[in-house]
Amino acid sequence: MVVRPLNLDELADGELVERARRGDVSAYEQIVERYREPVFRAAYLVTRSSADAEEAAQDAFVKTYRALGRFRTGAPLRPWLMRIAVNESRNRVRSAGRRDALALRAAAERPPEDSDQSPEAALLAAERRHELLAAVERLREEDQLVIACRYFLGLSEAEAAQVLGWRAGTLKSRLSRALGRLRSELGEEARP
Amino acid sequence: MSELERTLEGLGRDLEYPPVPDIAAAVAQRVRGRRPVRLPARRILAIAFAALSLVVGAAFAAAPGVRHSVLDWLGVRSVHIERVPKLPALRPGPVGGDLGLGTRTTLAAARSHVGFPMLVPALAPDEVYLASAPAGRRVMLVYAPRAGLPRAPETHVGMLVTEFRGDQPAGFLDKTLGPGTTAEPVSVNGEPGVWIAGRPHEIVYRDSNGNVDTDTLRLAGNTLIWRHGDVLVRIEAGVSKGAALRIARSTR
Repeated sequence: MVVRPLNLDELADGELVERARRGDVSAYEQIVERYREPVFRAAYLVTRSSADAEEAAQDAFVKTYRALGRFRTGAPLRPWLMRIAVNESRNRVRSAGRRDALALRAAAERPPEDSDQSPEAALLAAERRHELLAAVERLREEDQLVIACRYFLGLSEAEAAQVLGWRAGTLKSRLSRALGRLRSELGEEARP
Repeated sequence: MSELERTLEGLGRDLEYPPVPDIAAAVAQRVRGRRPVRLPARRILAIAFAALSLVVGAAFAAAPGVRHSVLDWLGVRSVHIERVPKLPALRPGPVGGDLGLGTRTTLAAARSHVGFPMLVPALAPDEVYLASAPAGRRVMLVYAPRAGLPRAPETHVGMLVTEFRGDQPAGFLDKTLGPGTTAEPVSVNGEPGVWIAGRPHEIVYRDSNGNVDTDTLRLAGNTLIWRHGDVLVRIEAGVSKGAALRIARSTR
């Protein structure tokens, strides 16, 4: 038997969850530290307010802690946390209305090192991205949500389905319909 | 993936977000003192069934012939589960029920299931738990806080005694303790042990299959671990070394 100090940041999620379940708050703090970025960003994409997203993210982590007993051992933690954060955020937006929602902004696209893109082409690309974001924001909430989960947050289809609480098939069809409506917004021909 | 999807992905990578707030401390503040809620009833039932299937064999040995089929009750005929007249698994108790220690049972049932000679302090435990995995290899005795056994801030119990079959790999107590933790060798009824005081830490041991495993001490309190044959016995409580040794030496 060897006794050694405990380094929480080296522990796998499952081990941290086990410890948190036993009431080890520092283990849970480590989980929050590990996932606060994706959870906050998911909340921000729904609320479009830094303050609301922060509150929603905090509430999501507190609720998740209370629900740790229901967490299936070995299941991925990130989509579960993000799902609770998205639900918290949606409730917040529904009850308070979307006040002063910030428009999404994207940094200028970084052209590849060897790009010989002309300034005109770069401007055109920037405009197209701006239009695309604006078009996404004109979509209804559910379409925005599925596009944000899949493309903006970089989730796989399976993860996005988990975050939104849908079956994989439902996610696929809703994503495809959302993309169709986005194409219409952009004035493109809807493609299958 | 279509051109549009690729563009959306690229856009997603460049989206500007406000700085991610540092919420870990605030969350910790809000959850401190509130332990995760107990498992929902369905999960407890599933664990009870798992425990039931483990104890059936032993129960049969004790009382062969007394068998009541519960296949109809369960509505599952293909699963071989039979009911014993007296279910040793109890509802989680008020002291250790929230700690995820395993299935609550009785001292007598634990003794017959762990598969190693259990030690019990002179002070009888309030609740007894068998870890659901590895099956029957770990038993935990839980004591409510009382005079001489102060309430642990993290777990709210007075004392936790854990016993499992384990061996000591070479380098027993390797002097690798972090700052703020001290360890000193002690002897419990002639058997080797160690008294650890200070910060939370984990122990590394070799299980009965020869695999090296780790185990965290659950309480922030002090710990006494000793070896009784091939069983590691651990007492965790917010008590002094002298008090812990008195408790350890009272075990039979």
